[in-house]
Amino acid sequence: MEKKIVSDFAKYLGAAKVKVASEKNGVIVEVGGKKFSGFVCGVLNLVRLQKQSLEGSTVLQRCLTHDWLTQCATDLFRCSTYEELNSNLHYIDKELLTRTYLCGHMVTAADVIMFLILYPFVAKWTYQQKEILRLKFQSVLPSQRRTVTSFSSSSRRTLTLLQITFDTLQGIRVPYRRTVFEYFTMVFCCSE
Amino acid sequence: MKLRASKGHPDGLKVLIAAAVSGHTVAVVEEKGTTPVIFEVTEGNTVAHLHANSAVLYLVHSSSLGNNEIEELLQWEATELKPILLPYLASVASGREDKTLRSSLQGLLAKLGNGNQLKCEQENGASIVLFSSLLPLLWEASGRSLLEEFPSLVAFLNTLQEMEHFKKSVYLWYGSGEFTLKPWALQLPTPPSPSNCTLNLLKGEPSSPSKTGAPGTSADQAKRVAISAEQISAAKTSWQNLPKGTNAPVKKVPVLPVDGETNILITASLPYVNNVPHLGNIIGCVLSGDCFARFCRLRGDNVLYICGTDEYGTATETKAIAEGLTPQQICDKYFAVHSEVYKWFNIQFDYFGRTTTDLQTKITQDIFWDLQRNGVISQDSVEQLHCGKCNRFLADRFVEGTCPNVGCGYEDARGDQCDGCGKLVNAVELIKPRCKLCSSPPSVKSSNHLFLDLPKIEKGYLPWLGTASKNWSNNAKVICESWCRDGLKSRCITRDLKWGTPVPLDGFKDKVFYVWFDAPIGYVSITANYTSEWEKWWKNPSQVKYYEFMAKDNVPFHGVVFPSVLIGTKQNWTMVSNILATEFLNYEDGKFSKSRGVGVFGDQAMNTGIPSDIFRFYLLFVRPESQDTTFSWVDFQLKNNSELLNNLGNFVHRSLSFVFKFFKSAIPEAHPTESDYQVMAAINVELEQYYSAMCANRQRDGLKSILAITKIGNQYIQENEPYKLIKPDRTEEDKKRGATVIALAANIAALVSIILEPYMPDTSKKIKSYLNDPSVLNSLPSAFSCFLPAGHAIQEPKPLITQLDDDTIKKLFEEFRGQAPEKKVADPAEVAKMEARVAEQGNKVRELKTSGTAGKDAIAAEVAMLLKLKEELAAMKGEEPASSGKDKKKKGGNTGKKESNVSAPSSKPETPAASNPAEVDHLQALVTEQGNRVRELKGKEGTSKEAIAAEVAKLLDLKNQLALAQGIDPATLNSKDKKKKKK
Repeated sequence: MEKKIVSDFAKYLGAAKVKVASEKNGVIVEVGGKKFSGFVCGVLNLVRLQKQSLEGSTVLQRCLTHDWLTQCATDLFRCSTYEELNSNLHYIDKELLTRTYLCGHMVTAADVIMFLILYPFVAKWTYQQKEILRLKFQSVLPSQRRTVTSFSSSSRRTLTLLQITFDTLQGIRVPYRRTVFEYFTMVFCCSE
Repeated sequence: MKLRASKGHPDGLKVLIAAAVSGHTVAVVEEKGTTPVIFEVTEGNTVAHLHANSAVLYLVHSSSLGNNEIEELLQWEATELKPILLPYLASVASGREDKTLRSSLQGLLAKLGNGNQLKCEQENGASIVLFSSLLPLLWEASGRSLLEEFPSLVAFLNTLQEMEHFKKSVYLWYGSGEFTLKPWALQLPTPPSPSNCTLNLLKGEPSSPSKTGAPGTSADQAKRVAISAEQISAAKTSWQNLPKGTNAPVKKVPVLPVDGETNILITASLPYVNNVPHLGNIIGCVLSGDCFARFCRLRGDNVLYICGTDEYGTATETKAIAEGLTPQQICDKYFAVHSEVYKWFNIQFDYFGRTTTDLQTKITQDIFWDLQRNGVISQDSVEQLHCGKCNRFLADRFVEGTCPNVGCGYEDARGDQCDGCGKLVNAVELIKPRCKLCSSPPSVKSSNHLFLDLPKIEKGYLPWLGTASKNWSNNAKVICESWCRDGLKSRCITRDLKWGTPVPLDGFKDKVFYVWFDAPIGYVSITANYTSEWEKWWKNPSQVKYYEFMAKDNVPFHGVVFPSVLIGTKQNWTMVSNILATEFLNYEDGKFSKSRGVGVFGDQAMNTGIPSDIFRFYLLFVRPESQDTTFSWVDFQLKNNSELLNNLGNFVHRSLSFVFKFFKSAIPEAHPTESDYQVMAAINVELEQYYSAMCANRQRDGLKSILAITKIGNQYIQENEPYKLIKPDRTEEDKKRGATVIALAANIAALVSIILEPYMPDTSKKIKSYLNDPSVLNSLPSAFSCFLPAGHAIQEPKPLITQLDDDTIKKLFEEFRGQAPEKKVADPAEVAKMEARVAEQGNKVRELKTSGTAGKDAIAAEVAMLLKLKEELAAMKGEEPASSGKDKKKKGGNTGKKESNVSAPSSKPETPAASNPAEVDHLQALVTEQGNRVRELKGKEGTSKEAIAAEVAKLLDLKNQLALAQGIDPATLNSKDKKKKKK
C-alpha cells in the first residue's frame, strides 16, 4: 500500500526519475541519486526535492505535515477492519472542523496523500450509498451541516467531502492528475 | 501549549523533555482511557494538534526538523518499534513476558544498538524520542536483561538520564522513587500491526497475515476468502440440484391478473406525441420500465406493461399548424415514429396505445362525473386573451407584446415572461399584445373553467402518500412532499382548446380537459383498448402491484394529481405502489435539443449501425438514478470496448469456444473441487446482489453484478488455464481438471444469458441460441447451478460484441453535436472581402474600447455590427456555427469577459470584444430553456419560493453570460436601450 501511494504521489508531482521499491521494512524512495527509506521520510524528501511548498511554510505546518504522514504510516495504512478505518476518519473529520486543509490554510503533501488513500474507497461506493449521503447532505442548511449527527458507518464530514469530490471527479477519466487534485482541494474549501 | 496524555504514557515524556530542552512551558491535561498523546499548539487563532514525535520536532525544530537522520529514527520508532515495544511492555507489566515479542524486540534493538546513530545530545529529537520510549525497559528485570544485551543502549539511556532537562522531566512525569510499569503500561492502546493493510478492506479480505495462503495469491483468491463455509456448501447443493426447466412461457393474450400470483402492472409515462424521443426520454421512462418488466417476467411474475403516446394539447395543435396537417394526422404520423423507435429498442410493451381514443373520452368523462358527484369540482372565471381572427383563446406562449414592466419596454415579451428584463409577465397586461400566429391584437375575454378541488381531497390523499411513498424513489418522494408542504391548491382542469378530451358538463362543452388531467387516465384507457377486462387490473388494488416509471419532471402529476383524482372518485382504484423517477440525462456538455440538433434521437440511433442492445446497455449503465448523468460518445466507446467486449463478450465467447473446439461441441463432465465451489459461491453472492438490486430498481447496480460475474469467470479461466490442461501430453488428472473448468465456465455463460435478458435481450437470445436454447434458461434461478449437463450439445459461438473504433465514434460525435447548415461553395473573393470587413470592424471596436472615451452604448452597437459581419462571414464559408463554441463549457457565475471570447470563429487576430455567434446561439437557447423552466415553476402551485429564486438566479446568470458573449456589458442590461438584436 505504501508503495502504491508513494508511486501515485510521485506521479502527482510529475517527478521523473523516481524509483519506488518495496522492501521488508517498508518503501525505499530513490530520487536524485539518494535513497530514503520509509513512507514518512520518503514522501517528505520527495516533497523537499520536487516541490518544497507542499511541505508547508511555517514550522508548525511542516510539523503538521510530518504528523499526518506519520499518522498515515502508523494508523491509517494499518486498518484491518472498517471500524478501525472509521475511527481514523472520525479523527480526520474532527481536525477538519476548524480548518480548510489538514495542515492549516494551504495545501500540503498531507492533503494529497489523504486523497490518494481514500479515493479507492469512494470509488467503490454504490450509487445507492452515494444517494443516501447526498440527500443527508442536502437536507440540511449549510449552517447546520456541521451539527448533523454523524453518519452511522463513518464520519460524516470526511465522507461528505469525499462524496462531493467524487461527484466532481466523475467526468474526469484519468485519475490522480493535477486537475483532479485541484477539484479535491476546491471541495475542501467549499465544504468549509 | 497543552499536553493531553494519559498518565505515564512514554509519549508524554517525549513532549515534556522537548519542551524543557527548548525552554517552553507546557500545561499537562490528564486524559483518561486510551486516547493518544496529543500536543496542542495555538498559533494565531488556530489550534493545531500534534502527536508526540511531531511535537518533539516542533519544539526542537532548529536542530531536528529537516534532519533526515533524525526523522528516519523518529519514523522507525513510530512505525516499527512502538508496535512491538508497547505490547511487550504490557506483557511485562502483566507479569507474563511475551517471548515472541521479546525476540522481535531483540532484533529491532540490535539494529539500533549496533549502529552509531545514537547521539547523547539533549537537543536532538531522536535522542528525546528513543530515550522516552526505551526508558521503561530499565524498570523491570526482564526488560533490563533484554537491554543489557546491548551495552551501548544502556550507556545511552544512563547518560541521558543524568542530563538536567531529562532528569527533571522524568521526575515530572513519573515522580520519584520506585518506577513501575504497572499503573500505565497495561492501559496502553495497542498500535495497529504493520502487517495490516487498509486497502485489503476493499477486497473484502479480513487482513490476517497468519493465514498461510500460498504467496502471490491473486486478488480473486483474496475475494474468495470472504466466502463462508456455509456459502460454499450452499453452492455445492445448488450445483448438484439441477433446476427444472420451464418451457418458454406461452404468453396468454390478454394478460390478466391471476389469483395467488404476483401481478405487476407497469406503466411508463406517456411520451408526448409531437416529437421524436431522444435517448434521455428513452432511458427516463420506457427503457427503465422495460428492464424491470423483463426482470419480473423472468422471475415468473404476471406482468402487464402499458404505454402509449400522449396526443392531446396545444403543442399538437401548433405542430399541426406548422406542418400544415390536422392534429389527427400529426398524431398518426408521430405515433408511427414512436412505435418504430421503441420496437427497435426492444421495448416489450404488452400494449402500446394512444390517448386519442373513444375509450379515453369515456373513461375520462366517467371519472369526471364521479368527481362532480362527490363535490370536488369547482368553477371559477379566468381572464384570458382571445384572438378573434383565429377564433381561439391564446395560451400564454402564443401572445407577444411590449413588456409592461416599468423601465423595460421590450417589444418582444412573451405572454408568460419577458426575455428582455427576465421578469414574469401576466399575459393580459402586455402592452399592444398580438397573436403569435396571426399578429392581430387579441381581446381580453373572461371564461369559466373547472377546477379540481384538491384541498377537499387532501384529507384522503395525505395518509395514502405517507404509506405509499415509502417504496418510491427518493426524488419522487421529496417532490411530492414539497408539493404538499403548504397544502394543496385547486387546479384548473379545463382549457379553451379544441384538441382534447371534451368536457361533458353543460356550459363547458366547448372546452376540453387539460392534458395533465386526462393524460394519466391514458394508462387506464390504453389498458381498456388492450382488454375489455381492464378493470381486473385497474380496480383490483389487493391483487395488483402498480409501478410507474418516469423522469422527475412528471412526478407531481403522477404522485399528487392523478392519485388525488382516483381518490376523489371514491372508487376502488388500483393506486400506484412504486413511483420510480429518474433524474435527467445530459448529452456531452449540454442538453439534448431537437431544435439545435444536439444529441441522439431515437430514429437517429437506429441509423448509427450500432445494435440497439449496445444503446440499451450504455443507457442503463449511466441511468440517471440519483443524479443527472451524461451520454458521452467517448465513454460509450470505452464502456463498449472494455466492459462489454473485453469482459462480458470475451468471456462468453471464450468459454463456449473451448467446449466447441476441444470437446466436439458437447459440455464435458465436471468434477468440481473445493476451489470450484468457492468460485460458485462468489457467483452466488453476486447473483443475490443482482436480485436485490433489480427488485429495488437499482438497475445500474444490477448491471454491475452481471459484469462482476463475467469478471469472476474471466479470472477463473485465467487462473486455471484449462486450454493448457487438456493438451494431449498432459496427465489424465490434468485433463479431467481442464474439462471441469471448461464445463463450469460454460455454465457461467449460461447464467449470464439469463440475467442479461432485461438489459440486452438480443445478446441474451444469441447466447441462448449458441447453447441450443435449453428450457432451463427461461427463468431466473435462485443460485448458480449445473444448467448444462455433461453431454449437452452447443452450437458454434460467434463473437458477441463488435469493437467500436475511434473513427466511428468521432464521426458520430461530429454528427450529433449540432446543426450543420448546408454548405455553399463561397466565392473566395467575396470571402476575402468579408474577412477584410470583419478585421476592420474588429479594429474599430478595439480602438473604441481602448480609447476609454466611447460610451458603452456606442461600443455595444459596434460590437453588434462586428457580430453580424462575422456571422455573415461564417455563413459564407459554410462553417458550422456551433462548432467553434463547442469546447466551451458553461461555467458558474464567474465567466469573465475574456473567457467567453476566447474562441472567435474567424482566423483573424483576436478581437477583445469579439463574440462568437455559436456561443451566443448556444447561450440564447440556454436562456430560453431556463426561462421556460422558471415559468413552469412559477405556474405550478406549491413550488417553494427558494426553488424559484434559485432557478431565477440561474436564469439571470445565463443572461449575463449571454450579454458578455454578445459583447455587451451586463451592467447596461438594466438600462433602457439595451434592445437585443434577436435574429
